[in-house]
Amino acid sequence: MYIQIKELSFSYGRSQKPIINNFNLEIAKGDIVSILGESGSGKSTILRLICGLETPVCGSISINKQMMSDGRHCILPEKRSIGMMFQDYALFPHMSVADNVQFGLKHKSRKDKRKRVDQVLELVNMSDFRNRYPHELSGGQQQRIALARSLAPEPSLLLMDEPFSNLDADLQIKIRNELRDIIKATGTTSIFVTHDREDARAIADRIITMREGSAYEWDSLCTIDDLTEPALVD
Amino acid sequence: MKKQYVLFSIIAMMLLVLAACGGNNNEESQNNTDGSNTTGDDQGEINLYTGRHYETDQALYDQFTDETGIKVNVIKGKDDELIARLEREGKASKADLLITADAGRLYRAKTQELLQPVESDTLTNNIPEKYRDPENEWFGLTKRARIIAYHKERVNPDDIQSYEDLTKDAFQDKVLIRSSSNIYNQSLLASLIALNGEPDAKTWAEGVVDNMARDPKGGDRDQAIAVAAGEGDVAVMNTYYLGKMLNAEDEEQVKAAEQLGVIFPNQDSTGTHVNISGIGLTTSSPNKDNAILFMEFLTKEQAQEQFAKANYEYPVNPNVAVADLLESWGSFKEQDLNLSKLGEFNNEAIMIMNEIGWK
Amino acid sequence: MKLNRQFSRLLNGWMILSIGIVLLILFPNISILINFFTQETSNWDHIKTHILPLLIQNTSIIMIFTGFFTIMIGTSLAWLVSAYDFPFKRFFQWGLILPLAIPPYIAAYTYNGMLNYTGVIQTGLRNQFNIQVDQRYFDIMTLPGSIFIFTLFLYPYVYMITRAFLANQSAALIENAKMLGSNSFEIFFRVVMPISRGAIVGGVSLVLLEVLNDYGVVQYFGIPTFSTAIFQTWFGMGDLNAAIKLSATLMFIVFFILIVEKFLRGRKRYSYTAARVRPLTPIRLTGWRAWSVFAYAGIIFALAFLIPVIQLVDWMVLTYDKMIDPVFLSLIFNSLFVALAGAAMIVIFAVIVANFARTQQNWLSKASTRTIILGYSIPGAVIAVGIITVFIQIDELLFGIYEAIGLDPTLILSTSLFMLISAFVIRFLAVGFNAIESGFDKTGIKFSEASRTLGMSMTKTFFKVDVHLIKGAIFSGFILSFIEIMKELPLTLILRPFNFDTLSTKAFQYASDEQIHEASLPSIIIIVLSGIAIYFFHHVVEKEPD
Repeated sequence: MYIQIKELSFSYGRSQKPIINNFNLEIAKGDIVSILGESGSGKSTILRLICGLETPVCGSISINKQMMSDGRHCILPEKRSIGMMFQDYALFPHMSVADNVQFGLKHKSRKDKRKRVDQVLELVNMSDFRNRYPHELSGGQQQRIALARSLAPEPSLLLMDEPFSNLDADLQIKIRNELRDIIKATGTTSIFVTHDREDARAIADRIITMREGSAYEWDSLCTIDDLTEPALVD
Repeated sequence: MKKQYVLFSIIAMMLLVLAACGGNNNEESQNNTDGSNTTGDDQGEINLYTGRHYETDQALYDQFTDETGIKVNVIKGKDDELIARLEREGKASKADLLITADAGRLYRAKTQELLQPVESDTLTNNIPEKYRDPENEWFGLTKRARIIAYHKERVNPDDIQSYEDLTKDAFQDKVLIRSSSNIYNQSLLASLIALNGEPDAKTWAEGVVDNMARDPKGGDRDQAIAVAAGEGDVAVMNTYYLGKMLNAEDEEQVKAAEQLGVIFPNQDSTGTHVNISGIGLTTSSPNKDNAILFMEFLTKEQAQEQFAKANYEYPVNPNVAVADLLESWGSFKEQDLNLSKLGEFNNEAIMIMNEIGWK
Repeated sequence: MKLNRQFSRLLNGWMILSIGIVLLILFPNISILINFFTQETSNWDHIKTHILPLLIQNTSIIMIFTGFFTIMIGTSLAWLVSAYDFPFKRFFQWGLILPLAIPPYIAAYTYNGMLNYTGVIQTGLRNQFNIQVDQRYFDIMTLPGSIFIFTLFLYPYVYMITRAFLANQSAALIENAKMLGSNSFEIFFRVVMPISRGAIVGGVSLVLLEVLNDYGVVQYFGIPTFSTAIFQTWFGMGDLNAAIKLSATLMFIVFFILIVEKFLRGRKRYSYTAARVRPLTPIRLTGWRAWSVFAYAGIIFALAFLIPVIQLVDWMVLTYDKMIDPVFLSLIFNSLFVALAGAAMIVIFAVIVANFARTQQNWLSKASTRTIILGYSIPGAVIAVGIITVFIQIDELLFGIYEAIGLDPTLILSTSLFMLISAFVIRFLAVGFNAIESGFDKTGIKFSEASRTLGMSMTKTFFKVDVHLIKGAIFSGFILSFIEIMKELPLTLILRPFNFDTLSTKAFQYASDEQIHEASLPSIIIIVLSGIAIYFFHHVVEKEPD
C-alpha cells in the first residue's frame, strides 16, 4: 500500500491518557480518505503525527515505502514532503498570495517557480489575486490559496484539517465539490479530517470514523448509511 | 542550508562582541588624548579604584599627570563594591590604589589582605599617626568632622555640647539623623564603642532613637533642611555638607543653612568624631612605584590645599591651612582614636543599631 | 532508546545556543548561591530576629500596593486610550509610556527636592503667601511615598502591555458586551480586566520585580527592604553568607511571583483566533466625558513626567554652565553605545531562547525560560559580584591563550566593556524575552508549522516567517532593553572598565553626594534619549499592519 500506518499511539506527556491508541490505516495511491469524528476524538492529532509535527510514542508511519517514523527514527516535518492545509489556513500575513504559494518551492529556477505558481493559481481559479495580501481575501478565497500553497510543491500526501470549518454553509457546498475536482485533477493522495458527515460523503473515496480518540474503525463508502446510528450523531 | 543560518547568527554575535571590545579600546584612546599622550609605555600609568566622586578629585589627577606624565586610570564606585571587586580579582587585579571615603572600609580591605604596607618618609611626615594604619597599609587624605547642627533661634547652644546631650529629655522628638545604613553613623557609633565601651554606646544609641524627630531618612543635607523646616531642632551631619549648602546655587538651600549653628561636640570630654577619606596600595599593584608617587603627591601641601578648599574638608597634613569657612567655625578637639577602630567595631555598631531598632 | 531519539530531535543549533545562553545566566547566579549551603553564621540569627520580620513586612506592603495601583492606573489608561477618542488622545497613547524614561531614584530625589522645605512648593508658599506648612503633609520620604514613586514611574509596564493586547485582541468580545447592554464601567471590570488578565499579569510582574531589586529609592527614603538589608549585611557586616541567605529568600519570593503569574495566566494561549484581527474602533467622547477622561490622563502624565521634568530642567538651568564640557559628550556616546550593543545582544539571545522554547515544549525549554528571569530578580550589585567571579575565572582559564598570542596574562575580559555588556544581557534578558515571548504567543505556532510542512527547516522558517511576524515584538524588546540599560546603575558602576563613565553613573555621582542640582543635566539627557526611544517604539508598533 502507498501509505501504511501501524499500531500508532500517542499521548501528551508520559502519564496522560493516550489520545491515539493503536491506530492502523492503509491508503492506496491517489485515494481521498476522510477521517470522521467528533471533536476531541484525536482526528487532528493523527494529521499532526503523519506530517511530523508530533512524535508518536510508538508505532510506525511509512509513505511510498519510505519510513517516516518508527521506534528509532523520526523524520523532521520539512523533510517529509507532505502538504498540510490548516484549519484556519495559516496564510503568512506578511506575504502576497503569490509569495505564499511560492513559499514551499525549492530547487527550482526563478522562472520555473513562477510557472508553477501560475499553474497552481490557475488550478484553484485565483490567478487574478496573485498580488493581494491574505487579509484582503474572503474566507473562501483564503481557503483556495491555502490549498494552492499546499499543492504547489507536489506533495506525496495532502492533509487537510477541517477545511470547511471557516466557511459559510452555502459556500461550503459549492467549494467541496470543487475541492474534490482540484485534488483529483492533481492525483494527490489525501487525508482530510472533518466532523461533518456530508463533507466526508461528498469528497472522500473512503471514510474512517474515530471514536473517543482510541478506537478506529472503517467502512466502505457503500455502507455510509450505517453511520446514521445514534452513537455518532454530532 | 540550516547550518548557514546558525553560523550566521553566531558570526553576528561575535561581531557584536568584537564591536563591544573595540568600542572599549576607542574609548580608552579617546580619553588618552585629553591628558598627555602616554599609553603606558613612556611614563607609565596607575589604576585607581575610588569611592570618592568629587569633580575636584579629577582635577588633582589631571594635575598629577601634567607633573609626572603618569596617566591615572579611574574606576569610581561605591566603597563596598570596589572592595568586593578587588577581593574577587585577587592577585590578577590591575588596580594599584584604593581610595575610600571611610576609614572603616580601609580597615576591612586591610583585614582581607587586599592592601600592602608602604614605607615612605614623605607619607609618614605629612600624615599624623592617628590618620594612618599602624602597619602603614593605608593613609588618610582628608578628614571630616561629624558635628551637630542646631537651629540658632530655637536652641541654646549651651544645651547641646556633646553627642550624649542628644539623648537628653529636652530633645525629645527633636533629633534628626540619617538611617543606620549610612556609613558615617556606623562609624560614629563604632567610635563611641571604642571610647566608652559597648554598653554605654548601646545606651546612647537607644537614647538617640528615642529622641528622633522622625524615622531616619534622606541624606545629611536633608537633616539640615528638616531642622530649618522645624521638624526637629538638632541634626547630626558632616561638616562639608553644611559648607556646600552655604555655597549652593539654590538660594533656598543657602537660606536654610544660614539658620543653623555648628557645634563641635564633646570638646570637654572625648572629642569630636572625625573620619577620613584614605588611600591604600593594593597587594596586587602592578605599578607600585608610580602608585607610591601618587600617594605622596596627594599628601603634599599643594594637593592638600586643593582637597580642602574645594570640598570643605579638613586636610590631614597639619601644615596646610583649612578653608575660610571652616576657619570661621574654629578649631576643635578630636576623638583620640586610631581610625582603625572604626573598622574594628563596625560590625558591632550595625548589630546594636538593628537590635535597638535604629532604622 | 526513546530518550536517545527525543534527544537527537532536540539537538540542533537552536538548542545548543539556548543552552549556552542559559549557562551564561546561570553561572554568575550559581557562583553566588553556592554559598547558600555553607553554615549559618551568628549574623544570620541576628538578622532573623531583628530585621527579617520588618523586611518582609515593608517589602510586602510596597509590593501589594504598588501592584494594585499600577494595575488600576495602567489598565484603566490602556482601556480609555484604546476604546475612546478624547482630546490629545494621540499624544497620550505614547506620552503615557514616557514616565518609564525616568529612573525611579532620580524621581525620588526630584520629588523630595520639590516637596521639602527648600523645594519650590514650600518656598513659594512661604515667600509669596507667608504660609508655613506642616512638614508631615509634604513628606514624601515614607513608605506610602515610595509606593507613590514606584506606581507613577513603573505603571507604564502594565499600560503598555495591556494596551497592545486590547488594541489587537479584544474588538469582538468588547463589542459583544456592548450589544448585551453593558455600560462602560461594567465592560471595564467584567470584560476588559478578565480578558486582559494575561497581559496585566505580565506587566505587573515586571513592575514587582523592579520594585524588589530597587535600591536607590528605598535607601534614600530610609525604608528597610530586602535590597537595603542585603547591602547592609554583605558590605556593612562583611557577611557574604548572610547576604546570600537574604538573596535566596528574595529569590524564593520571586519564584513565588512567577509561579503565581503562570497560574494566573492559566492555560490560555492568547493567539489570533482568526487569520484576520479586527482592531477596536474607538468611540468619540464629547462634552464633560471627554474632558474628564482628558483630565485623568493629564494628571497622571503631569505627575509622572511633566512636573519632575520641569523641575529637573529648572535645576539644570542653575548648573548647566559648569557641567557642559567635551567630556560630557563622551558620556552620551558611552551611554548610547552600551545601551545599543546591550539591547542588540539581549534581543538576539531572547529570540533564540524564545523560539527554542516555543517549538520544544519540554522540561528543558521550560527550565530555560524560567532561568532567564533569574538575572532580573536579584539586586544588581549581588549579580555584579557573581559576574566578576565568573569572568575572572574565565580570564584565568584563558591566561595560556593570552600568552600564546603575545598578550600579558592579565585580566583582559574582566576589565573590558565585554563584561559590562554581558552583565546587561544577564540582567535584562528577561525584559527582551518577555516582549518577544508575548510576540510569539500572539502569533501562535501555526504559521511556523505551516512553513515546516512546506519544507522549510526550523531555522529557515525563523528567518522567512517568524521574524516578520514578530518584528514589532523584537523592536519592543529592543527599545525596552535600551531604556533599562540607559537607566541602569549598580552594574554599570561596579563592572565598568577604567575611565568609563555613562550618563547614569554621572547622575548617580552627584545624586549620591546630595548634589541633585548637578545631577539634573545627565538625568535629563537620559530622559530625552529614552523618550525618543519610546516615541519610535510607539510609532513603529502603531504602524504594524495587524
